[in-house]
Amino acid sequence: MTDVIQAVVDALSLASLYALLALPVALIYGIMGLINFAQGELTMIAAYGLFLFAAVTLPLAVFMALVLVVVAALAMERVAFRPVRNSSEETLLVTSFAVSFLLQNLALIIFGSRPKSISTPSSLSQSFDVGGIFIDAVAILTVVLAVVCIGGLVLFMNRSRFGISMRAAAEDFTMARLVGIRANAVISATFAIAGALAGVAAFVLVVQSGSAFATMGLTPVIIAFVATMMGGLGSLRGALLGAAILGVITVGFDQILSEELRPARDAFVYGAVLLVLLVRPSGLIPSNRERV
Amino acid sequence: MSYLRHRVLALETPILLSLILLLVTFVAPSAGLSIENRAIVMLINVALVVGLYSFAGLSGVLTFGHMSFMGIGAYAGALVTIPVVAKGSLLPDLPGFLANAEVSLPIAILIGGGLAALFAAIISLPIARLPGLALSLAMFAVLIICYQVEANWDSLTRGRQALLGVPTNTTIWVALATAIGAMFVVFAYQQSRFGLRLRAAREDEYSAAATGVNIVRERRISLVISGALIGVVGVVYAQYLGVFTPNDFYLDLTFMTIAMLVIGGTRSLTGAVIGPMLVAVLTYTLQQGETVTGPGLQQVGLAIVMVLVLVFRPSGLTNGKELKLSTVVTRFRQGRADRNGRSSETDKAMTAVE
Amino acid sequence: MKARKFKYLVIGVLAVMVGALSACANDENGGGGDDGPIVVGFATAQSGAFAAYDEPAVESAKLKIDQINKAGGIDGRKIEVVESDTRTDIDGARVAADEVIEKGADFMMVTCDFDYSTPSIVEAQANGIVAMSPCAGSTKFRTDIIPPNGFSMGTGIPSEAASLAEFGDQKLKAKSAYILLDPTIDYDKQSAEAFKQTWEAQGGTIAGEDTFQQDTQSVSPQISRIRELSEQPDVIYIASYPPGGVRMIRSIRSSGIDAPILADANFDGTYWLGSVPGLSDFYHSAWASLNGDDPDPQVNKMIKELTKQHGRPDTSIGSMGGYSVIEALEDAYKEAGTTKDTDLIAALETFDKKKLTIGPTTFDDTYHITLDRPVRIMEVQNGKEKFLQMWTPENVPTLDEG
Repeated sequence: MTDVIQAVVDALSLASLYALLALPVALIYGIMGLINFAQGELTMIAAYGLFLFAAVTLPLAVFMALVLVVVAALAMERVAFRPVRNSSEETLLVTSFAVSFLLQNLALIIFGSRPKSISTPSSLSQSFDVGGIFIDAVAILTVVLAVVCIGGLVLFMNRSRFGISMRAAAEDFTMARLVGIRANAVISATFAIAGALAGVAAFVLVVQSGSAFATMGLTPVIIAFVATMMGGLGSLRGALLGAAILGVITVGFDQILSEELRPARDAFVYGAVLLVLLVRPSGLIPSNRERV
Repeated sequence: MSYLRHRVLALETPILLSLILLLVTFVAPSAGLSIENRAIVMLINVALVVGLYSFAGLSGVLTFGHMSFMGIGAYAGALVTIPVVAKGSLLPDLPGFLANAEVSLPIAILIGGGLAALFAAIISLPIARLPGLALSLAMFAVLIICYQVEANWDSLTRGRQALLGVPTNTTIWVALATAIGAMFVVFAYQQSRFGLRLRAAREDEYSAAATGVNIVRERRISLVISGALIGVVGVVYAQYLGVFTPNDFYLDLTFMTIAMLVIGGTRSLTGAVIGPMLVAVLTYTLQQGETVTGPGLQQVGLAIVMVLVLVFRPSGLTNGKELKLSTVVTRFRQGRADRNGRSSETDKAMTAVE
Repeated sequence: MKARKFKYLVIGVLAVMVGALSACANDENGGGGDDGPIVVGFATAQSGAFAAYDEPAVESAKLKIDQINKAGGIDGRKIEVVESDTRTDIDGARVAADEVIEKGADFMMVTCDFDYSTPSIVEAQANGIVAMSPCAGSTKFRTDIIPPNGFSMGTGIPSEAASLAEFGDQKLKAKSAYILLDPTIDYDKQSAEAFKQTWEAQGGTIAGEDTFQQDTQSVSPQISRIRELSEQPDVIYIASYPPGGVRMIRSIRSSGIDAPILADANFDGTYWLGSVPGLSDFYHSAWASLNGDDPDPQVNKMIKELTKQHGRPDTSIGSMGGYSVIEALEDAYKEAGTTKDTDLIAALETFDKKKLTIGPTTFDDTYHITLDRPVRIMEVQNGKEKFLQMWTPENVPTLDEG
C-alpha cells in the first residue's frame, strides 16, 4: 500500500513539474500558432541567471533570474518571431529550432559544456518521512508553485482586462485585432508570461539538480511539446491534462517495468502517447481552433 | 522527336539539379580528402532531405520521425554486410540467418530500403489516418521508440555501443548515385497522379477530398516511398561512417534535416536539394572563419543565418519554385528582344533560380 | 535584369567554389616524412560536449610539446601542431582527421571517446600514421576490433571499476553493494558491469541494481526502491556522469541515505561539488589529484604548470592523457626513429609498464590500451575533496565483448 501512495506522491510532483513546462508552450501556441522549441532555452537562461546571482542571496538570484528570462523572452519575440509571425506554422517552428540552437551554442561558448553548480538552501532539498511515505521538500515546492502559477494564470485570464484580451486573441486572432486588441501588446505579454513560467520551472529544476548547463532545456521542451500535443494543441486545459498523464505514465512505467526493460522506459512511455493519439487524434481536449 | 524533347523538358529540374551535383562530385576530390568527405556527407544529406521532402514537402505535414527509417536502414544494411567473421565476435547472439549473411552493397540497399519501407507501411496503417499535427507527434513517438529499441536491443544492435566493422563502400560516386536516384524517384512521384493528389490535399484538404482524393491513402503511399528512400540513405550513410550508434539517427539529425528542408523551401524539390547544399557550404565557410574567432562560430553563425533566411524568405530560398533553365532561356531571349518584357511565368522561373 | 543577376550569381558561386577548393588543395606533404619537424595533428572536439574532455588534453599535450621543443626536439626534430575541430560529430571526426592529415600530420591525437575516435583512426590508418586518444577508457582499443594504428592513453574502464570494488571491500569493509546505472553512454554500462563482476568475484553481495536516465526529471522511483530494501546496502556504486549523476547523488543524500557512494573518474573534479553541499562519504577514482596532494611529485609539477597557463583543470582525465600521449610519442619515436605507423606501432607495443606521467603504461599486440593501471582514490568529506590513496587492482575483469 505504501508503494502505491509513494508512487502517487511521485507522480503528483512530476505531473506538476510537467504542467509548469507545458503551460507556456500551450499559451504561446494558442496565441500565435508557434510551437516554441526555444522555450527550453528560456529555462536554461533562467538557470544560468540563478547561477550568476546565487552567490549573493537566493531571493535576489530568483528575482534577477526572473528579470533576465522575461527580458530574454521579450527580446526573442521581438527579434526572431515577430518578423515571421504571419508565416506558416512550420516556418515558425523551424525559426524556434534556430533560436534554440543559437542560444544553446552561445551558452556553450560563454559557460562551457561542464555543468555549473548552484547551491540552494538545504531546507529545500530535505525529505520528510510521513508514515513510511517519503516526501521531498522539492516535491512540495513543485506542487505549490504549479498550483500558484496555474491559479494565477486562470485568474489573470478571466478577471483582468488584459487577460481577457489574450483569451480573445487565442480564440480568434484576426477578430480580436478587428475589435481593437493590440496584437503586439498581447503577444509580448504572452512571451513575458512564458518567460516568467520558464523562470519558475528553472528554479524547480535547479533545486532538484543543483546545476545549470547549456543543453538542460532540451528534455523539458520535448516533454512540454508532447504533453501539449497530446492534450490538444492550443488548449490550456488540454496541456495540463497532457502533462498530468505524461507524468503519471512515466512514474507508472518506472514502477512496473522489470529491471531489464527499465532502461527502455521511454519506449513504453511514447508507445502510450502513440496509443492516446490514435484514439484521440485531436488531443484529449481539442481546442476550438483547428490549425492543421 | 518533339515527344522526346517534351519528356526531357519535363525532367529538366532533376536533370539540372543532377548536373550541379555531378559538378560537385567531379571537382571536390581534387581539393583533397577532407573536401571529398564533406561532399559525400553533403550528397547524402541531399538524398536524405529529398526523401524527407517526399513526405513532408508534398503532404504539407512536418514530420519529426522520419529519421527512424534511416536508423532501420543503417542497422539492416550494416548487419547484412559486416563480414561473417567479425560478426561472430561483435554480435555472438545474432540469429543464424543474419550471422551468416554477407551481401554486396546493392543487395544491402535493397534490404535496408525494403525493411524501412515495410516498417513505414505497417506504421502508416494507423498513423496516416491522423490529422496533421497529430501525425507529426505520432512520428516523433515512433522516432523515440525506434531509438530506444536500437539503444537497448544489445544482441542485435550492440545497444548504445557503436556498431563497428561496417564495410566502407560509400564512395563519392555511390553518394552521388543515391542523391540523383532519390531526386528522380521523388520527382517522378511528385509529377505522378499520386503526387498530384497529395499536393492537392496539401493546398486544400476539403476541396481535394471533394474531388475524390483519398488523403489517408495518399499519405500512406507517401510514407512508404519516403520510408524506403530514407532507409536506403541510412544504408549508404552507415557504409560511409563504418561505425555508428543509435544517436546518429536521433534528435540532432531530425532537427538538422528539417532545418535544411525549410531553409531550401519545403514546397519544391529544388528546395530540398538547395537547403543541404547551402548548409554544407555555410558550415565549411564558417569553420574556416573559426581559425580567427575561435571555436563555436560555425554553430552560432549557422543559427543566425537560419533565422535570417526565415525572416526574409519565410517560405525558404526557393519559395516553392523549381529550377528550370528553359524558362530562364526564354526569358533571356525575350529580354533581348524587349528589355521591358515581363511575363508572370518567366518571373516565376527567375524567382526559382535566385 | 533578373536573368543577368542569376548569371552573375552562378559565376560568383562557381568562382568562390573554385577559389575555396584551390586554396585547400595546397600542400600534400603528408605523413611519414622523416625530415623537418614532426607534425602532431589534433583531431579533437573544440566545440560540443566532448570539448570539456578534449580541450584540457590538447592544452597539456601542448605543454609537453613546448617542453620538448625547448629541449631541442625529439632526436633533433621539433614538434609542430596542426588542429581541426570534430564538433563532437561522428562524421566531423572523419573530416577533422582528413584536415590534419592534409596539413601534414605525422601523428594524430583524437577525441576522448571510443565511438567518436574510430572514424579518425580509420583515416589515420589509410594515411600510414598512428592515432592516439588521450583518455578514452573503452577496452575495445583492440587490434582485432579497430585498425592497429589506434591507441588510447586512457586507463581501461574495468581497471577503475575493479579498484573501486576492491577498495569498497577491503577499506570500507562493505559486504553488500547497490548498483545504480545510467545507461545513456556505453562507458557507464561497462563500468557497472566490471564493478559487479569484481564485487561478486570477491564474495560481496549485490543488494540490488537499478537504472535511471541521465536526462530524467524525476529520480524518486529509484530513491524509493533503495529505501524499500529490507536491509540498506553498505555501499552504492553510481555509474553515470554529471549533471544527471550528480542530481542522483544529491537526491540520495537529501533523502537521508548515507551509505558511502563509489563512482568512477567521470565524477573527477570539484566543479560539481557545489551541487551537493556538504557531501560526505563519497569516493571516486581519478587519474591525478588536482589539489597539489598527489603522491607523484612529477604530476603535481605538471598540474601546477598547467594551472599557471590555463587555470585549474576541471578534471584530471584530459590533462593527464594529453601530456602522456606526447610522452609516448617521444619515447616511441626515439625507439623507432620514424613516425611511419608500422614502426611506431611496433615501438609502442614494446611498452610494458612504461613509466609515463599518467602512470605505468602497457600496450601489446592485442590491447592498445592499458588495462591494469593503479588509480587514485579520492575522498569527499563535507564537500571537500582530497587524495586518499593509490589503488592497484588485483583482479581486473576482462569484459566479455567483441
